[in-house]
This record gives sequence, C-alpha cells and structure tokens, in this order.
Amino acid sequence: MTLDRRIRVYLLEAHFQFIDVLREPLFSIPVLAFPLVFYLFFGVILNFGGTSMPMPTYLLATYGVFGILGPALFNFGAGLATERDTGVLLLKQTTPMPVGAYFSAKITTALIFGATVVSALFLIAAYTAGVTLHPWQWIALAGVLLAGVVPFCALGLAIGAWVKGRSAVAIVNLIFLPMSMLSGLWIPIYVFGDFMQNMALVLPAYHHAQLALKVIGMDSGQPILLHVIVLAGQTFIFMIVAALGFRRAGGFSIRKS
Amino acid sequence: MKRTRNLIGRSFSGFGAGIVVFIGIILTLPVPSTLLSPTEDVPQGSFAVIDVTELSSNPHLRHLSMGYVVQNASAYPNTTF
Repeated sequence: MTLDRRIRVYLLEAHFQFIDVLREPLFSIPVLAFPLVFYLFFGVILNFGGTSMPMPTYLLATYGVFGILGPALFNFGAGLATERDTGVLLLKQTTPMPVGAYFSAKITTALIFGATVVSALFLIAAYTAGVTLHPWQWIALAGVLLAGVVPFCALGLAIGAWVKGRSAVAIVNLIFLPMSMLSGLWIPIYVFGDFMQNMALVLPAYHHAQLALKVIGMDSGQPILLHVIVLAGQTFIFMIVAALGFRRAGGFSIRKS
Repeated sequence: MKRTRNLIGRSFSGFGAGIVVFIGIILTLPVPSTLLSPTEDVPQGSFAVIDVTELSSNPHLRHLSMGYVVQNASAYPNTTF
C-alpha cells in the first residue's frame, strides 16, 4: 500500500470511529459531561474558601486527568470488547486496512474527546472559578493532560483484550471510578489515610495527576522522572497484557500491506 | 471515489479546525494580573498567619475564614500568632 493510500485509510478510519462514538450518547454524554459537572460542583459551587483558596486550580489539574481517563478507558476498553463480540473487529480484519489504522483511530478519538473536555474545563476554571495561570502553565498543563491518553489507552486496550463485551462497561467502571478516587482526582489525596495514600503509588492516574499538578506547583514533591518512568513502565506492561489477551482470543493479523 | 475524497477533505479540515480552536482557547485564557501591569505597592502593616486550630477556641477569631492572612495582628491581643 502506498503512503498516500495508507494516510487516507488512517484518516477515514479515524473519521468514522469518531462519528461512531459521537453518535453513541451513552458514551459521549458521560465522558464529556461528568468532569465538567463535577468540576463545577466541587471546584466552583463548593469552593467555600473564597477566591484565595487554591482548590479550583488544584481541581483543574486533577479533573483534567479525570477527563482524559474516561474517553481513553471507555473507548478502548468497552469499545474494543464490544466490537470483538459483535464481530465488527473480525469484519475489519477481513479488509486490507492496516491494523495500525484501527488503533490509531481509537487513540485519535480519545484525544479529540480529551481535548474537548480539557478546553471546556479551562474555560470554566478561568471564567467562573477565577483561575489564572502563566501562559506557559496553560500550555504545559494542556500538553501534560493530553499526553495521558497514551498510558490510559494502553490500560483500556489491556482491559478490552481480556473482558467480554457485555461485562466490559461494568469492569471499566470498576477500574475507572476507584482509581479516580484513590489517585486523588476528585479530592486531594492527603485527606486519605496512609494506607490509601500508599495504594495510590501504583496507580497510573496518580502519577499522571502528579505530573499535571507539578505544572501548577501543587504536587506532592516527588521527582518528575519517577512519574514518567512509572507511567512508561505501566504502559509497557499494559501492552504486554493486551498482546497476551489478543493471542488468547485468536489475535490480530498484522498485515504488511 | 469522489465521496471518499470529500470525506478525507472534511476530516482534514475538521482536525485542522479543532486544533486551531484548541490553541485559540488556550491563548485567550487569563494570566495573573502581575504579568499585565506593574506590581502595585503592598499595603503597609503587620501581618500574621493564623494557626487554624485556634479558630474553634478563640472568640476573637471565630469570624475569620481558614487560611486567611490577618492584617494588623495587634487587633487580636489575646491571640498567639
């Protein structure tokens, strides 16, 4: 397949994947609305301390992570499992489409939804909660948040490779909601006991949130390299788990076309 | 074939427009006022940070919110700052 045709296939697959999930209100409405509604509630309405409190700024970073986590986990985890069980994945494998186009389209879709949530969160934080950041901080925060698509898509891929379509949403929720809570995405992690704070150290959302909080100077003080290494290592492990899941299920045939 | 070409064009322009809107939103976000104007004079006076554990027991401080900086610490004579 020529490069020109390959790019066209990648673009078309991304286009149709995006339209597909956009037309699925059970996916698009929760992943777009939940982080914004939660931020409005906890960051703006319940901001008891007045404008001097840093809570809206803190929650902007953590709800940004929450907003990236949702589309990545549900689009990959639940989406992949459902498409495999309904035979859509098998149908796609019978076409000359490169397997990379399928994964690239899923990552692009998660990225578009994530960017939409991050933009809306930034606007709400800036114009209703009065959050002000230096220009480099706005840009760096957006970049760090969007980069979280990579480890979270890998986690979603690992889930989607192993679970059945009917139970996928429930299992993704079982991982998504406790991980968000324990990683300090809803409320700051220091309100938890030592045991729960230690549990957060193994969660990818915690390390991603710490990187986002580092941009605004509100992290817990661990080095950036630690978070990056943990996230990279976990991404690698998730990919291996996903590969084992695909091998068990019959696998993807990677074409050289 | 023509329909496919149109779809690719629309996808390209859609992605492009999305990126432009995203960057545009980030560029319009507010920055700290110290970046926009020269630093104003800080009001003179004595300042103290309240120990928030005092709030419940000290009648002089009950009306204050947690974490606020108090100007003129001498206004609270029975308080150890």
